[in-house]
Amino acid sequence: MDLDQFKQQLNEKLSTDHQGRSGEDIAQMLSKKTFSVIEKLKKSIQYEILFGFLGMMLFTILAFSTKYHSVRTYFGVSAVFIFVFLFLLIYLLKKTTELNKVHQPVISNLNNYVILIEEYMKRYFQFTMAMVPICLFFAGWLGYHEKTPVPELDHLIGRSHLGMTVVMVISVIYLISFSVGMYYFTKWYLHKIYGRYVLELKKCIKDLQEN
Amino acid sequence: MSSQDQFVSLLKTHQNIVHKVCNLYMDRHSEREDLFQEITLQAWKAFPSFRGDAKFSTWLYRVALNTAITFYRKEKRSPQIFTSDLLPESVSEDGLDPIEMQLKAMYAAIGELSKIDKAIVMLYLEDYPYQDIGEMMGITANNVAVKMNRIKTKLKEEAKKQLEQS
Repeated sequence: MDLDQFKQQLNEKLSTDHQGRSGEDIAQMLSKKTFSVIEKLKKSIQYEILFGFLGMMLFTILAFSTKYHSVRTYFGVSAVFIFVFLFLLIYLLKKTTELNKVHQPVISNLNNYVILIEEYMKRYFQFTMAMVPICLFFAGWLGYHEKTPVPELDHLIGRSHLGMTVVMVISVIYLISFSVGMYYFTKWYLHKIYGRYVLELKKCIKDLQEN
Repeated sequence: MSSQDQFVSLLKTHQNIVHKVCNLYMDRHSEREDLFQEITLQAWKAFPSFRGDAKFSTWLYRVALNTAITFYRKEKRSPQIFTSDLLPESVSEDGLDPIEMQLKAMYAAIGELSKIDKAIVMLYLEDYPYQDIGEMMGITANNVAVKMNRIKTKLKEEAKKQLEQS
């Protein structure tokens, strides 16, 4: 018993066992939602561009409207940082859109998927890791060197009866735990969303390359 | 005729290709429906890149196989079992027709293949030459021939096992 023996029957069965779709059915499908991972990635990048842009505008307004030098520097640097990241997101969006338009041979298509998703994962990870020192250590350093007194902060430290040294130690422990936690969480999160899928695609590439 | 009308008309004529890919890659009716929709959408998005220098059927095969291979559903699924619900009702577990039983076993054996092997088998069943299969898959014709020999052996063994089990 081999494949050639049943070639015709299998082929016929596979191609005829279905209910034919009318032209209206097909036309209706064109406006329905997609299940493609690349389409979801594209949507995700579009949202990140939108929120990144809004965040950048807000940070710029805050930087120019505050009287504190540290707050101005903090939001100013963050706005510049997001501005740079926006270009990267636009580049990724362009690549994703191009990928959807042309269907290359299976192996090239799979390679392009893997390259794109891994690039996105890498950049997302780098951005998150770069935001950690900006959000925490840089903010702490700026706050420590702020010349203009911040009454609310002084009041908070004074009210806790802990003293400056203890507050500093607690802050440093918090910063380190947050950074380490963020590192592992981001890795886990990205792997959870795309990791298994990328492995599946890589397995297909390996299958194709095997002789 | 608008571009959409042209696309709908072509897809309607060649919808067997899409159904075939769905039947081969998905074991449940609802999953086949989802894949059909996904292939239709992907083909529509890629339609501007179809210039007519290749046959629409070949182009559609490429889009459909690319979509089926990269198709991913997040929901947890039970292990894939290539159901025999596509086979005629006369082919039941206690059916006596040995040919039908062998066909059923072969069908189940194809269901056990990897995504890539399924794509190669599908094009082989469609009588595409190794050269064309290689071009669609992005590998050499020699490589296709080697793979096809291996797949045939695998199918023979798997179908035998399926027959013994039933």
